[in-house]
Amino acid sequence: MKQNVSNAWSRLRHDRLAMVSLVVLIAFIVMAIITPWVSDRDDIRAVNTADNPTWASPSSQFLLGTDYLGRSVALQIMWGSRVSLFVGLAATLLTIVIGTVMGLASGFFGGWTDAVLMRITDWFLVIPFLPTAIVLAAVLNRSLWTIVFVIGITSWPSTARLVRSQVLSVRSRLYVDRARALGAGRAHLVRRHILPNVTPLVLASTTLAVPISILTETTLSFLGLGDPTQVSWGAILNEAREKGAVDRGAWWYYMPPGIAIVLVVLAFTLLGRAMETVLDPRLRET
Amino acid sequence: MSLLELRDLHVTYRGERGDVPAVRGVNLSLDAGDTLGLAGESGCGKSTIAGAVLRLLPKETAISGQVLLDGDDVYTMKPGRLRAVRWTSAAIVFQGALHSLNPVKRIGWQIEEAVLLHTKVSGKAARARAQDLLVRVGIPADRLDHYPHQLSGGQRQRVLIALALACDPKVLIADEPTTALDVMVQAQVLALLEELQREKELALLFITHDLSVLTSTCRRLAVMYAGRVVEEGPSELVFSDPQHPYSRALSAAFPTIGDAASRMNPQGLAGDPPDPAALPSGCPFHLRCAVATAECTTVDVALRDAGPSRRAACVLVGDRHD
Amino acid sequence: MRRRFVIGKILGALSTLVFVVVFNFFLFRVVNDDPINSMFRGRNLTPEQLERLRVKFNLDGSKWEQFVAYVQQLLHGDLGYSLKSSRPVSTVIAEAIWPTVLLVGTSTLLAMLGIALGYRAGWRRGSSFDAAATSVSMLTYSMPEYWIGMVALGVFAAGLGWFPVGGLNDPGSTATGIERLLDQLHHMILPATVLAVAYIGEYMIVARSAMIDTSREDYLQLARAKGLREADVRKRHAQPNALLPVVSLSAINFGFVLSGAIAVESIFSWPGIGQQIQFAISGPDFPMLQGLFLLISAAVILANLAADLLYGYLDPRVAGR
Repeated sequence: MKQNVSNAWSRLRHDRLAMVSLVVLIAFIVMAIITPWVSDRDDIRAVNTADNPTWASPSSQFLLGTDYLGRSVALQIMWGSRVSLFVGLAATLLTIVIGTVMGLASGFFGGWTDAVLMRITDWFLVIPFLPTAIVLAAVLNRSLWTIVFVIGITSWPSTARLVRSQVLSVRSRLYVDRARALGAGRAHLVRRHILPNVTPLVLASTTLAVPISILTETTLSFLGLGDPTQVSWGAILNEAREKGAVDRGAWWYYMPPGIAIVLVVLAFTLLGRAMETVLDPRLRET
Repeated sequence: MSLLELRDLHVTYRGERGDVPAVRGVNLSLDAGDTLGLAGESGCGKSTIAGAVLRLLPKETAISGQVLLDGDDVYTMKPGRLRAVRWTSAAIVFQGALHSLNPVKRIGWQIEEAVLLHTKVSGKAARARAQDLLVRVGIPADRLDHYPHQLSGGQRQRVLIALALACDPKVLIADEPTTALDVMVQAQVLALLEELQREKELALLFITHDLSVLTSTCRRLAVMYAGRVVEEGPSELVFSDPQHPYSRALSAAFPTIGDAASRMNPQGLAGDPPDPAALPSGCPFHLRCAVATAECTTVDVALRDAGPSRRAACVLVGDRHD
Repeated sequence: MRRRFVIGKILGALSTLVFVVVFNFFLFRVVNDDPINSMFRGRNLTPEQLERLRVKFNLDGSKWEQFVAYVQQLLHGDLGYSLKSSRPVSTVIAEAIWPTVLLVGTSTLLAMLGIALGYRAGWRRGSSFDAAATSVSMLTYSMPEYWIGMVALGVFAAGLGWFPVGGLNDPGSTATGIERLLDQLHHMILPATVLAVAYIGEYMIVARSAMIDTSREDYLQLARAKGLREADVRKRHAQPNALLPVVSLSAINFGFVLSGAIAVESIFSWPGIGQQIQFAISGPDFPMLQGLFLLISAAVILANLAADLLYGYLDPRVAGR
């Protein structure tokens, strides 16, 4: 398995787009981490304490200008990166965990368990997931963890499906039967045979699930369902719109958050696709 | 003038990992009523020839030599003429796998399409012709409106034969038509092909890896190895008294029906077919050859006389028949 | 198509609808056990007043009794009362539904242009057209639809003044008939385009990969051998087969477009279902949210059913013919 990982890594290294995406993502992660050192929370509180000019276009003092309260847009973007990245990654983790457990149980145990779990999955797949997320977020307390929870429990079906089909295909392979014949217990089978084969695909689909989580978070924040005490890119856009940034032509206020979202989402998507190609031999195009 | 003639045909595929020479100088010729079997393992280039005849190979492929249909070189034809010649001068009977036929179109429609493309007849007339063709190959007329997945493998193969005959071609190329079928069905399909060939005096090029099938269907037989013809002659003789070591191994692998001795003792051939991108030096067969000599590692021998209308590409041949 | 296939699909859709109704009900009740209490928390109401409110809104009795009452109401087309506007939810929805149908319908049709683009890109894989189309699709796919809306407004409405900044009609306009219709169309261009741009990438990518898979099939070679022009090989043989995955996608994508309309309607002050959801969120106006959620889910279930039936019609292998 370690050999597979190093093989995959060296193949990935050659994909220029994937490497660029990785660099972009690392840059954003670094940005998110160093933010508390560069600025403090006061800079983004909803009160204009310092006598900064409001609606100022970009200058040497304010790289991305200021908003309606005179707060630095650039600093807001930095603080926003923390929320968007955190929620994106945490929500995806939840999605993957639920989806993998469901998929594993379904594929491994088969029979009734499979039938029931699959029916449930199908139902959840049909229910449009943004409205569900909206309803849940509206009904629960407004907090970051709510958002994480909401995204997690509405996105797991596709991962469950993926994991299940992978488990089924591994199960049907001869060597699993042979291991069983040799008296291997269930736990051993899962650990030694099924997980190693399922993990690569799950890893690739995780990377592809992050952009969806991030986009959902920004949409929920934009609709006002996010944590009111936190700055997220979606919330910045919501404020910008409410305060008339579009009408005023304050492009420095509403363009950068969107561009940041696009960069992060695109980077994860490209990286995820590259990982998929590298890890799933069937997808490799000769 | 032959109906189909291949002159010094070379076909090289251009891939990401370099050039792959699939066909390296093949000469064939077929007249009306001729039946020629082309045999060999996978990778020897025989299927490439089927594609080459109607110019169906990928655009990047390097092709030299000539493919003459009724005297005209397919590779110098203008696109319009090429499309007119396809299916009318020569047609291919493809392998009857599930996806050889368009899964979302009815089989009647697929036959009618060919008819309507090349003849000016009404839709009704085309449908009638499709019906006649289906009946001729032994499929009940009501299957006209069925979809490919509703037919059995043998029936699909018959449909492909009917389709190939839709425009009355004079040359028929059968590319592994019986490979995916079980023995009983295989025999029926072969009988059908022979019948049609005789009835219409078709020039038949029968491509397969199964030697035993060719001896009854084809008068002449050519054995291919590594992109070249290594032996050719009357099929009975090539099968019973092969001159080239490869043909010998090939025919030994197929037990002769009726001959108890060979049935009990089929012999396989050690080793794998050579990688066309990395051919051995000298004679490409020498690594697997039971009677290879020192000369074989350096000399790549051409076809030489091996008897009355027989030729073989081996240094050991010709010595015997000088 | 075999009747069994059609009936099976319809029953499946109905069972999902039942699940949605149950899910919808318990979602709101379970998470918010006593809505009356939480809604009127600030006000000083006596327990008797609270109880009377509960009876009025059918929130008394056990969960099961409440559920039964809820279903009975549903079957009568009663979706409850909006807390914010004190009007029946069904009335509010009825007013808001046409603008959304107009917007989502137009955007979906526009976004389907992506299918044609995807076919062309997939047929000529690796060409510069393919590279350009794929890059642009990935780019637009990464953009939140409401942000595209804001940028579009900034450039074309506030900036260039070509389009109005929102609404379905010009406020204060007294135009009627054709003039009114043209005015509405003028208002619709920007939001419909924005929504289409957001989802065109999805169609393009799926159509492209469907075409790539199809282009490898043997029957295409047969079609060429027959003497067909390349364009006809693509149109008559490849496309009908490549259409199948796209149809499956359309159903799923419809759900996304509908969801995307929520934010876009908000940006453009478009008086549709999306805007109502936005209003309901800020309450929170639970009966409204509940009714809207049911409506949207039902719409998506219907779209899935339509796509399943269409697929069965297009692919003879599926419907048991």
